[in-house]
Amino acid sequence: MKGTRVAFVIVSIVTIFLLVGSVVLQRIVFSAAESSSDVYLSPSSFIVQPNGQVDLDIVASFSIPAYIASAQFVVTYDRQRLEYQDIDVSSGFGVEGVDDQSGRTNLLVVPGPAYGIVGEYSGTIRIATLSFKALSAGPVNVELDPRLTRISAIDPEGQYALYNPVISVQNTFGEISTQTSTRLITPPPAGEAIAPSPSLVSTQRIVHSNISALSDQALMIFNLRYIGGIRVDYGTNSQLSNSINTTTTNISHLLRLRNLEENTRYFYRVSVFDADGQTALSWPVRSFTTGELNEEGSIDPRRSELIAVSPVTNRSTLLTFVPRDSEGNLVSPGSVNFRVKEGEASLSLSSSATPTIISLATLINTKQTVVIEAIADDAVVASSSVVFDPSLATEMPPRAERPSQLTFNQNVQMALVFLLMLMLVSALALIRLIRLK
Amino acid sequence: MRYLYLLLLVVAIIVVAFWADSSRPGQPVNGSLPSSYVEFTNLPRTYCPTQATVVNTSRLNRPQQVSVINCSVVSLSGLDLTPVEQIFIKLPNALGISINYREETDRYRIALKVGDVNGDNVIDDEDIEIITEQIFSSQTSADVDMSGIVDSDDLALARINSGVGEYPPGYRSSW
Repeated sequence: MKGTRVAFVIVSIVTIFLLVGSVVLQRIVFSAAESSSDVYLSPSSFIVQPNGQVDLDIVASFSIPAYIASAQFVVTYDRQRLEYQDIDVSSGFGVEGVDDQSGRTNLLVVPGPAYGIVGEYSGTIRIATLSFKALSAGPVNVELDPRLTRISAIDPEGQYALYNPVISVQNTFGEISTQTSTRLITPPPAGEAIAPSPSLVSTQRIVHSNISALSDQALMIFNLRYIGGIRVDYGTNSQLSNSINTTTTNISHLLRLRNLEENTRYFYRVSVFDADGQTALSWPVRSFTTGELNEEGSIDPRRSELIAVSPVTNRSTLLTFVPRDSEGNLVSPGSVNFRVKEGEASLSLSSSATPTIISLATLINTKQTVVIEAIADDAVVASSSVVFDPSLATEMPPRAERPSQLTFNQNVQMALVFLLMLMLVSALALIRLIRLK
Repeated sequence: MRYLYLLLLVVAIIVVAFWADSSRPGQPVNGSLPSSYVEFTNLPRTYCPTQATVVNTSRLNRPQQVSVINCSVVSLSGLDLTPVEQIFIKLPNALGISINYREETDRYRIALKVGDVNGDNVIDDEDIEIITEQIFSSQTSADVDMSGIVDSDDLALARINSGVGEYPPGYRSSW
């Protein structure tokens, strides 16, 4: 009887172990490694003469091998500066669709014939090469759309676990100029790719930027994805001996580079910071040229601007009225008035110099869009809108963690601890039972 | 007394085991499930159909629309089925599956294949061509995973899941 009782206890404990263990093990997931990828255009900057050719590579670099089923890339460019010519897709990919819509090129690719349905890609690879013809002189941005640029990769352990490994995109800035004797950045030899500067662990990025070069100052507007700060290093040569940075942590920023000289080329580099002050992104060096003030010119509504930062998380912001003539030259504002066309806000003049600075303050605490107009001789010469949205100040960037090769998730660790404790308790109970016999 | 302690330990372990079993991934958290149902697994994260097409082949019924619970469960309790009958179920943008219904407490768990854009119960180059033509469009049938936009994920799902769904024998009407 005693032996029977002991045997019964042993069998019961083993059965319970198998039952609990099988249930717990069903929840165990060995996190298969997910790759992270930076997608960028190479070279990161270029200088070309009008009617010259520009070749830009779409490059993707992977932290660990990725299993790609398909991918899409959307490239936008100023069609006044560049004309799309051709695309050359890497032999490692098959083309499912290419569409250029004069200012935007869409590319849809799948693994090439050598790969089958899903292809394994690793390291730094060239996806395709876009060829453009340079048109009129001036600065030009070629950008990868961060929302629509996407790689559909699969988790090798899961049949339907599609994920997008792209964590950053980096654009290219170029200048179409007849003056090509001086180069700031030497493009890399063909076939090489420049390592991207964005941090692998930050998702902060510049969503939109606008540079207005006046006669004695430059206005720079930056819209960030998350609240942060901006610093601009600038100068008349590559030393970039001057520096200006924003004093507030916001989504949108306006920087004024003052005391500049007329008809002078200035170089600058933009650095973006997260809300905690960490450097998140640095642009390559770029340039602009200041203009001249035409004292006798008249305001042309087609060339004049009312520059505002938007969206804004604070209760007040500044607008800048930049009057220009039909040639694009800066002119005196004359007797220009400003009014709020839509929204609950108040206006006040901060400076009547050229450009004119206007202070705008929202009168309510909730999100709203305010429309402002500049009026000269009873005609609207410029208008702009500002979105006041205090809720954007609380949106923080997610953390992109580096993946590891094989990891036990926390459920597994807790499960193992639980099983070990169960074994210990059961062993003690069994020993006690046997001794009592 | 020692057997009482042991018994309490066993009961506690069994309770924990059943709790872990009932909350494992893939099973709806909502406990109010019908007595007989089909649960579809391996669904894309954004895939959430509201209706499923069901055909009872044994009675040669016309297709009827049945509500989908929690984006993944089709109830069999309200279909007036008797054992043993064969039914076919098709979710939007997915291949059809067949079930041999045996009793009132039957529960099924089936992996679904999405990618059938044109509704012919075959995932092939025709579906891939429709997806590529409507790339970046929204609110179209080519949005396989119901993410709100036709993108490379939809193309990837159609390529991975290419194949032919099950057809009811002798049933030639379209889904």
